[in-house]
Amino acid sequence: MNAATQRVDSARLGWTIACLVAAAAPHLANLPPWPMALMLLTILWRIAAQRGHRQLPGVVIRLLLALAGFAGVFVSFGTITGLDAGSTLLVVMAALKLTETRSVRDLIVLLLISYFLIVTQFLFGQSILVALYSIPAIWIITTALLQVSSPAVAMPWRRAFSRSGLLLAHAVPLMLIAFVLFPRMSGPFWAVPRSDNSAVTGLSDQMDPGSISRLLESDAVAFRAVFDDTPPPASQRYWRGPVLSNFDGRRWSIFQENDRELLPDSVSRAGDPVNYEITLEPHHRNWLFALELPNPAQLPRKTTMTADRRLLRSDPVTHLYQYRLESWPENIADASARRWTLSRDLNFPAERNPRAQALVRGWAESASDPADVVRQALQLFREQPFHYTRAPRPLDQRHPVDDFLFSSRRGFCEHYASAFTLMMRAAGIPARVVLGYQGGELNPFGRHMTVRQSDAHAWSEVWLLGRGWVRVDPTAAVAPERVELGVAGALPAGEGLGLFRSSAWLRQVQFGWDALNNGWNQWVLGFAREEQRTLLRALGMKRPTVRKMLLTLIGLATVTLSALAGWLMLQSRPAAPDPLAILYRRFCRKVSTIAGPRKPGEGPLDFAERVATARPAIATEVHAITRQYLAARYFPDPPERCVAELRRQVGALRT
Amino acid sequence: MVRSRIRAWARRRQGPDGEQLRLASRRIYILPNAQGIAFGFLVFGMLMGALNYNNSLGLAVTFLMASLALVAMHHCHRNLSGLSIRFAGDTPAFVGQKARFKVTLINDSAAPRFGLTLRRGAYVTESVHLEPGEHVTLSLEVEANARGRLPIDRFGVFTTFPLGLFHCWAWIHPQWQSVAYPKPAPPGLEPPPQQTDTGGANDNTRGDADFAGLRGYRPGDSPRHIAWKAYARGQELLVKQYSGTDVTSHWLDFEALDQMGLEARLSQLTRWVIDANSEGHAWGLRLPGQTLAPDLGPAHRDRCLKALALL
Amino acid sequence: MTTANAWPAEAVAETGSALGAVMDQLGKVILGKDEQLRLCIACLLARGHLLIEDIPGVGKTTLAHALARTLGLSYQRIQFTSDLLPADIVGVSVYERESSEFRFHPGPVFSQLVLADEVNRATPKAQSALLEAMEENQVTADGRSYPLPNPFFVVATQNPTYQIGTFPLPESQLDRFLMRIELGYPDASVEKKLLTGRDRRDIVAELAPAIDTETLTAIQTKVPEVHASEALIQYLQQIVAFTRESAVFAAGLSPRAAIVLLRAAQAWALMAGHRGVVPEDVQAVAPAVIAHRLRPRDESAPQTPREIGEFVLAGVPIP
Repeated sequence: MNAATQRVDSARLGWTIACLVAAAAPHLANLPPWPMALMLLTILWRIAAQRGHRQLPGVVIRLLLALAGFAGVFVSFGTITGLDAGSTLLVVMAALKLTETRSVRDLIVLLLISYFLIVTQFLFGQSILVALYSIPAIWIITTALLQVSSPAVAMPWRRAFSRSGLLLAHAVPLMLIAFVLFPRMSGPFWAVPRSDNSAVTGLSDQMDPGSISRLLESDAVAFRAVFDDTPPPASQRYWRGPVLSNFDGRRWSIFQENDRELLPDSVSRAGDPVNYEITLEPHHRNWLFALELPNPAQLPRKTTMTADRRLLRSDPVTHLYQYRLESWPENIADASARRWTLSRDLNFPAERNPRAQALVRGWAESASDPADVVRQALQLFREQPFHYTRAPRPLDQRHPVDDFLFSSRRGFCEHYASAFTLMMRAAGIPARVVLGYQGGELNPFGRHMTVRQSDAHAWSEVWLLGRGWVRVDPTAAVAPERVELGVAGALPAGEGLGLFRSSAWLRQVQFGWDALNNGWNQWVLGFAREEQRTLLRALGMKRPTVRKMLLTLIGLATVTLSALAGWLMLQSRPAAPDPLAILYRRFCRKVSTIAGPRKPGEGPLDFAERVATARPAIATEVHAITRQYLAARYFPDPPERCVAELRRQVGALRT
Repeated sequence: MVRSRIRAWARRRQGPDGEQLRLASRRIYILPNAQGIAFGFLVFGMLMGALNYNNSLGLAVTFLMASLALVAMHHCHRNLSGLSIRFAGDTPAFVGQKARFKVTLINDSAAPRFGLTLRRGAYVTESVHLEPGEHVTLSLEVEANARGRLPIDRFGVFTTFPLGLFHCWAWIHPQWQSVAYPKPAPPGLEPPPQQTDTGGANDNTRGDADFAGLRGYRPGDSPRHIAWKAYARGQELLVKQYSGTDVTSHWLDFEALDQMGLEARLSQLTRWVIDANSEGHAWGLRLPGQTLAPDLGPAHRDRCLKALALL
Repeated sequence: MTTANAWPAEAVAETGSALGAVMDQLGKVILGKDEQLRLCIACLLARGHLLIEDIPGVGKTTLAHALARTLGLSYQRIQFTSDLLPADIVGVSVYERESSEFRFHPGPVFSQLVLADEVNRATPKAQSALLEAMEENQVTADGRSYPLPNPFFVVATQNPTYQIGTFPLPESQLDRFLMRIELGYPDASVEKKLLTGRDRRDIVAELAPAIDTETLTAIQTKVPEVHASEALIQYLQQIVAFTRESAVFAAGLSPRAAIVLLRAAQAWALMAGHRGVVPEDVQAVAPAVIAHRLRPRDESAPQTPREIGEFVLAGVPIP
């Protein structure tokens, strides 16, 4: 192609650079800044070259830059594969390609890279805003592709935008069909390790003083839940996450062995079940959140339930993940625990927090019943001047529980849960810390419940003989409002949770936005294998199989493309004539049986004469129609309503 | 090899074309070009990535791109479909030069057409753009290799608009012909002397004829035209020339050049015709079986050259 | 031909009756040549000049003379010969002894209707004198210009066959004539009338004007005002474009040709009593107006005016 090797003009180069910038810009949030700096440098260099100020770099410099780019990626990530390193490499390559753009073909390569950058951007985040951003970006790239690939067509950019807009608009129905019908895979083709260097806000698998109150800052959504029926009351909405059994005197952490023990399938059931669906934001952990007590027989795929009643997934949740559960909120008992399991929930370092141990030992000796110890501990929190606050003073490193119980007495849920659980263990009662979320906000627009990072909570479970594991929330003893009203309602005045929690209408805006996001998550992002099959079944496809889906996809795509082809064919026909011409043509067709069709170069008068001679019976009508047509088409001041009159006359003509 | 067989097949399938034709869908071919294949690989890569990461937006964009390519294919096809093509004359050439065939592209549809190009062999015309109702005339060059009729056996009209992903083309097999004139002989041999064609008035030295200038004497010139005064002043023998009533003309005779071969004779006559025309003389041409009466002007020149070409 | 809608009343009276009378009278003298007569009148109304190409003896002179008599125009016939001088056409300045100054004696061209008979027999020099007068509507002699009368209508005749000693009008000059027509042989019945009836020349001599000069010039000024709709202009443009793009012609119609084609069609529409120009008006005048402005590429192309006209008109669809 001679066109492909043509030199590039400034406008096309400029738009290509704009496309590259538009496609790479979102990666500023995901990738280290140096590839962007490199791209900026090559852009400036290329512009300077276009203006004749500089030469484009030679082979040596380009080679050095390429080596530096690879080295940079390797230094930044320790690898050149994987999502982050790969995306960075793509940006680096685009930046370097810019230094050797001499022909139209090079610009096209850049535009294709831009398309690819848009897609890689989704691997880092798929929010509505990202999607909205990508629409104009794709439009610009497509427009630039249209202009760059037709170097000889001098089209104003406005027009090019409308042409490419037309193409994209025509492509959208096809895209929707493919989106719904293209069979989704159940899992990845190859492992997709995602390096964890990007900090994700969320619960971790350990707890020390301050680890939960930090989450309070985040308004980010942890997950959303939709209940089939009425949601359970706030006091029952304890979304269980990690269970921490290890204690080192300050930090609680997961006891890894627990992961391997599975809960026996037989679980006693009590009360009415609650059915709900959770759309979990990716948190890159294996655990799922659930209300007490999930039915082990109806777990999501690739999910198991451990003996301490956690839901564990075989892969970390790296994408938005939807799952359905059935829980019995009233059935909090679990008497089936075996002694040797319980023993690990009694361990604590004896040399740390001695005062707390001493205090509890006193209770245990006098108490008749472990439940009495629990009561005494809660009473301590309730009656002594303990305060619920998000900003307590730092605690002593060596004996944090002692410091909290006897000196600071100001703390957040993790302080209370930590102190309470230690006290129970010191009293010989098996106890553990549970992390999760408590509460959640029912969205008035979407009937779904939004649970945010700020709803993160820590509480305790104690094992009581005959009752099994019982949930005890020591925070509730200090601040009962925490359970009923949520964090914002429980915190003292002046420790509010920012703007959104205060203004009524901003709250409405937030609810609306959240509802939108929930719909987006459910219908777009969470549209995976199961959802696809459910939707297709709802649309009437019995037993959707991959084969059936593909055949339907091909069929529908063919129909859509045929419709498009038909429309385009109409466009390529001779220009649509005006109503006058259509009417006259109709007249000619009507009388063509009499004297043959009108020849292309035959005037209306001559034709009328020919017809009238061939059939004098209708001569008057034929001449009248011809007069009307001539008057409308060729004579000055065409009579009013001449088209309607002509229509009537032609309609009334009987041959 | 394969290419020529495909072309032969297309020619058999379509048959020869007339003076004017309208591109029907069935004779328009479309294939992805290098850029389109690259685009295909890109979409495939996106699909693999998006499926692997189970990334819904990635899939959506992948499907959008694939749809875009399919839609672009139809738009590309439409860009040619229904285009009218008309032969708009030719510019004959001398052997060794290039004759030009003028081809008019007419867009009588309601939608614009972009980036249309004609191609014959390696010769590619500029790319044109037609708004609804517009038409444009392009020229195709054909090498004039041998004297005589010069057909243009085939040319293509093609487009890659809108996204350059597809190469869409139609083959035209016209029966249009131009003429390859004989290659003019190098200048040198003087044409035969002029003869005066008595246009009623014998005396073309009359007062109302405009004196146009002097030229060197050639044997056969009328003594009455000789500038005797100049000769008397010692200059060479000159002949007075008159415009307006100058009705003298050359008779260029094929038979008179009997010492030359056929092609050489034709070349020589061609040279004389060109010279006579550029000098503004009238001339007549005698060829075996054909005589063109003395006249002048480009039309006469073309007639004579054509007669020489087709002899 | 059917007549279309009502024409404004006074215009019908003025043009219709006037032209009707002219046509009637001419039709009685020039037998079987209605179409050519109409073209003549249309040519005159469009302020153009007429070239008749035909063999001698088919009535060219009679036609011109009858036209002059019927239209009440002053008439001069110039027989072109090889020794005709430009001065013989435009006039000559003569020194007058009494007034001792040059006085311009107008030539035969100073007539409202000039019959330039066998124009190809004269030298190009003489021909161009006439053509210049036609072009400029005036004669320049000794630095002074003398306007030609109004209306000024030249009917030139030319013998189509190439004969020794003739100078056919050069192609570049042909388009000075608005129309070129042929008269052709009369058909049998007409020929019989010619043979048995009175001498046409006698009849012509007795003709009285059927229209006065003021009316004629008034109609002439009205011709460009005849309505030409958008659709018609488009049709004209397509005709012009067709000739330019067709492979059959060496060169297409010039922009000037398009204008005069419109003028002629307007004149024809006026005569036909159409309120606006319709395609048939264009078609009626087209062969006479365009044929001599187009040069067929070769022998396979249409040659005669009728063939050329039919070829072009059949090739251009009416919108």
